[in-house]
Amino acid sequence: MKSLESAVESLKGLCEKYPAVVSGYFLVGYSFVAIIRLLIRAKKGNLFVEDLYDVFSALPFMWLLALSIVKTIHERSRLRQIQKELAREQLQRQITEIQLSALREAEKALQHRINNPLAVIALSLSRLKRAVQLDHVLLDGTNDIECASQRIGSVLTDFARTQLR
Amino acid sequence: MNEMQVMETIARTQTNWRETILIVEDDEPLLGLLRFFLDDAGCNVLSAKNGEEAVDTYLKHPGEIDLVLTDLGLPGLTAKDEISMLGRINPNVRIICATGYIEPTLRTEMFQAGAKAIISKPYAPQEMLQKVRSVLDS
Repeated sequence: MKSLESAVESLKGLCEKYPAVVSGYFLVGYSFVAIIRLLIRAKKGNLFVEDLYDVFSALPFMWLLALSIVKTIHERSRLRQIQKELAREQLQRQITEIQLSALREAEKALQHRINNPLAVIALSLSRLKRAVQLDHVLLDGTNDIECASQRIGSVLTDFARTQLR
Repeated sequence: MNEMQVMETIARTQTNWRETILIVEDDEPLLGLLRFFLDDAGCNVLSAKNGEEAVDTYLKHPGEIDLVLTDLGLPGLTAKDEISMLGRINPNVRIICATGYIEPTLRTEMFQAGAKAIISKPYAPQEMLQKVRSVLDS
């Protein structure tokens, strides 16, 4: 059974790659069978000119039939391949969308969780600046902390803007 | 004008605020700091840690609360429900929502529910005070 399946697959593969050659083989096969039949008739002594005409007049039609069958197989295989590619692309798009959606959710949750402590830092720093406004060392320190906390806030915002939108 | 000068200006000009503000915030350090800055501006400050407490406090002080400054990510009652309930108690209630993140759709819903302004965390004190003042004056 497996060998039959593999034979069918090989035939399909041949049809896809060389449709003209395969249809040629069909034609040769038909001609071979027809000639054998004619030879048998000739041997029996009942071969007529009409028999020869019947066999050879059918040859072009047989060739066209073989070619159209092979072309149909070829087209069907090509369509199946296109369908597979489309399905794969769609699946990939869905996976990407799901991943992006999960990242967006994580980003929202992180923004929510990070911005509360950052608000505490920002308000505390303003309060501290008032208290230490004559001490330049402490004032510089509070300014540095303020810049750093603003950078933390912008990391998530920039990431969301550049990667997730 | 640097931040210090802005703070001093606000401190000088706004110490006469006499309005009562209800802060609804579950983050205690943040609540403490908001209380500090609003106290400093001369406001009478009330606080609540969730939506239910906010509604209770609002009912206990009928006609006294001029503005509600509420966080959006509160435990229990959602901010939207809290705003709707406050709106039913007093249709003219002034509410400012503070949030670390808000979706555009939720922002619209908040305004439809009755919020007058939305402030994004982290905010500087002067930004918060200016927002409070502008909503109080509106």
